[in-house]
Amino acid sequence: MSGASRVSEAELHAFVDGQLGDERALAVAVWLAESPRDGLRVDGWRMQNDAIQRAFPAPARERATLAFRAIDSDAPLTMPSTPAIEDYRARRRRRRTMALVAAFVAGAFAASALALFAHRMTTRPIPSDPIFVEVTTVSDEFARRAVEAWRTYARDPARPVEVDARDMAGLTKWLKERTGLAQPPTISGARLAGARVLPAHGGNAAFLLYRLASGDPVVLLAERGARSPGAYRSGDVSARAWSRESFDYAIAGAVPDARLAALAAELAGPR
Amino acid sequence: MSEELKSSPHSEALHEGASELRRFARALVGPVSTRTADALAQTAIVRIEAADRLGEDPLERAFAEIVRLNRRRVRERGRATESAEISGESERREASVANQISVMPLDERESLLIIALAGYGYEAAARILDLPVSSVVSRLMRARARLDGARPGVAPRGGHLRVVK
Repeated sequence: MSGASRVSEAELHAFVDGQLGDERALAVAVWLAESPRDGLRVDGWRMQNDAIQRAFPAPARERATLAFRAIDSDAPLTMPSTPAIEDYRARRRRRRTMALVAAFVAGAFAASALALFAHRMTTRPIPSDPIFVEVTTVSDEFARRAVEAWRTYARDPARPVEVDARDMAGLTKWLKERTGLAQPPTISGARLAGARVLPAHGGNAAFLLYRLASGDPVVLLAERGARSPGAYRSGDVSARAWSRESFDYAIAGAVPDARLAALAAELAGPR
Repeated sequence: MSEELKSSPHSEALHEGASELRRFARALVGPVSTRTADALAQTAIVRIEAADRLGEDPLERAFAEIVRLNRRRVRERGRATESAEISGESERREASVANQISVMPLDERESLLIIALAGYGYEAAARILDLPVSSVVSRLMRARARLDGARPGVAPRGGHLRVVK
């Protein structure tokens, strides 16, 4: 072991839960790079957190009703007044009517879009771009994970990254130790803000957060592998994935498709 | 029909968070008590909605109310030291995380779920669970060690934690 300061058990947990300040988080990251056993445990807790999220899926969204039956073991509750309940129900009925109309309009729009898409796919040749296939709705696992990682961390105001890029040397060393990524790629017109290490199927994935000149966050996910190129979109966030030199990469962000394609082309092109 | 029911930001926050509240309540109560868990969440939402307190996060208060209601439910049923209710199905899912959590002591389960599932930080978790931060962290550590104990090849650091069987 080298000069990394001793880290307590509680600090390891706080590191996993994003509860440490920047300075201490960096100290823990350095410690973990030199302490594989603790690194394994921290990875295990992260996987536990992911498993817990998967084990308890969120129930379907529905608004709580005002009329309900109190649970047996609880004290009786004061019911809202009847006019209040009627008002709420009336509003809910109006919303349902509006939702039905909106669903019909959306369905008609989706059918038109599908017809147009099918028409374009059957009449247009596959693009000759060797890196990407121009299909934005294909579900690609790695690109999907990049979108999910973007949604989870990129807009976190408190702690979007574990290790800040201000200590570039420490960040690079840490990422190399944990993920095998030799060097965080540079993106012209974007600044590297920092990184995380995320669990992956066969090891760890590097999560790199960049900020464009506009301030928009984009995420580059990198892990060892050689998958096919792909793309994924969910709402306003999209991702493009490719492989290069035995690493899979996916870039994700809530930016226009053309901008994301340009970023991906820059990263996937010759360096 | 009378005038439209007023919808405050306070109420909207609760309704927007209803799904997360029900998810937390279901995980806390255990696998066979979905209806009870939903009733807990529903009760918490209605109670907090009826008592708007300026400057306080209604969602955080609703999580705290679920914890309080569940503790009371467990206490009144004489299960303060017992685990969540377990279904026959849970025997078939012996190794699942959900099952391991459902058989944890309630205090450890609360701390683990409010942080790892609901995503609260330690200080907010301490407010929700009405405990000192140090207690929340030690319970969280015990819960994770308990889950670690179910994974082959992973052992806690010597001397720091005692794994309770």
